[in-house]
Amino acid sequence: MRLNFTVKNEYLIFSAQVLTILTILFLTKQILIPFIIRTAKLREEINKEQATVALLKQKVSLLSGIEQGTFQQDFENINQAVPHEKNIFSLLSTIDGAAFSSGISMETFSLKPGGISTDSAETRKEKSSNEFNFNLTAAGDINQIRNFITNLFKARRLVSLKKVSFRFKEAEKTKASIEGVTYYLPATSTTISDVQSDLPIFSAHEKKVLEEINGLMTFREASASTFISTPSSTTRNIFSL
Amino acid sequence: MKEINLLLKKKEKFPIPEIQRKRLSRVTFILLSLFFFLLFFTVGYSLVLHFRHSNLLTEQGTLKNIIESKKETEARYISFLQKISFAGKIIEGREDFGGLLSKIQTFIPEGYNPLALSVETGGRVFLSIKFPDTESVDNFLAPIVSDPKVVPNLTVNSLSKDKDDKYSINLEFKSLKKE
Repeated sequence: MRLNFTVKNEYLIFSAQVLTILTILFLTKQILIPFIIRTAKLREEINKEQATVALLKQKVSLLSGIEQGTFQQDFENINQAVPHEKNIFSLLSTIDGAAFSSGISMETFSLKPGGISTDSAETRKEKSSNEFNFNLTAAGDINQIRNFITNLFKARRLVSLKKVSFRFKEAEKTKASIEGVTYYLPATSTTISDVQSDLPIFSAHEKKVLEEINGLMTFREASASTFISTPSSTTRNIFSL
Repeated sequence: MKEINLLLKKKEKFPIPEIQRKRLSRVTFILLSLFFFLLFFTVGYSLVLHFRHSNLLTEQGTLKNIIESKKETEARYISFLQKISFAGKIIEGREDFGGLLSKIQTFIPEGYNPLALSVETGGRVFLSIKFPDTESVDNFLAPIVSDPKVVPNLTVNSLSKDKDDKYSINLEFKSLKKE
């Protein structure tokens, strides 16, 4: 009777151990492994969220910086170089200033037909070109005119020249007829679809362009108008440097 | 004594040897410990991660709200970048007519009187000069013609003589070679 009990007891212990192992294996497969997988996925998700938060923080910091005045000067300079609208006044003051500092006399100035536009007119055909032409004639010696052209080239309001024609006449000032083009870029209604979208950062090229624009001249100091031609003495040595 | 012998005999017939029973107990113990350790560790770690995740989501929401309120600034900044890119293209494409004129000035010897000069985009130059005699024309053209690299694509459009026996020559050429 005692023997039977001992054997039975040992079998019971053995069975319990086997059952425990099987239960552990079962629980591991059914609970522990899925739980570990879920935790690993959560970890991955956190990494992604951390990257997003870092991006958003960077964006907030950049936007706050802009609001506090970083780039303020750059904003102003780029808007002078390429205004939102045609801004004829800015073009005139640039040409006036360039003429004043080079000493030439402006004789005529004209914009191509349809050149002056209001905001409503911008919706018409010229909207896509973002540029408009102007013509002017100037009188002075060749060096003054060359300086005027150089001043226009170095002016912050961006101007490209298409053609420069000189007429050299004895006993008269050299006359130059200049065809140019200037630019504007209306502020596009940028739709920011996703707040999470990455805010573009300056590339080296953009930095270089900005530096170049910041280095361009403004002619605000030119107060005297040169649009009124003044009679002057003639210089004959037309092409001497 | 009989009972003891009987017991020993029976014991020998027991299917699981002592050593294996001990091994089994050890394995059971290790597995059980490992299971509970992993379970507690994973549960604890998961709770920490959940907490962190929820914090991140809250922070993200706050940041998104801030950005949402700064949309105007963002649009201004993007427009600013667009303008830089636009201005960059203009600057790259512009031609320095002033520099070109300086080069043309050095190219025309002193004493010769140009009548007209025209410079166009693409570096095309039209020049009309008056010469007192044919020798001066030759003197002017000889160094240019001898080295076509100095003034590429040179064309003499016309050569005329006026009533005062002075020569006018119309030239067309591409801008002087860049230094």
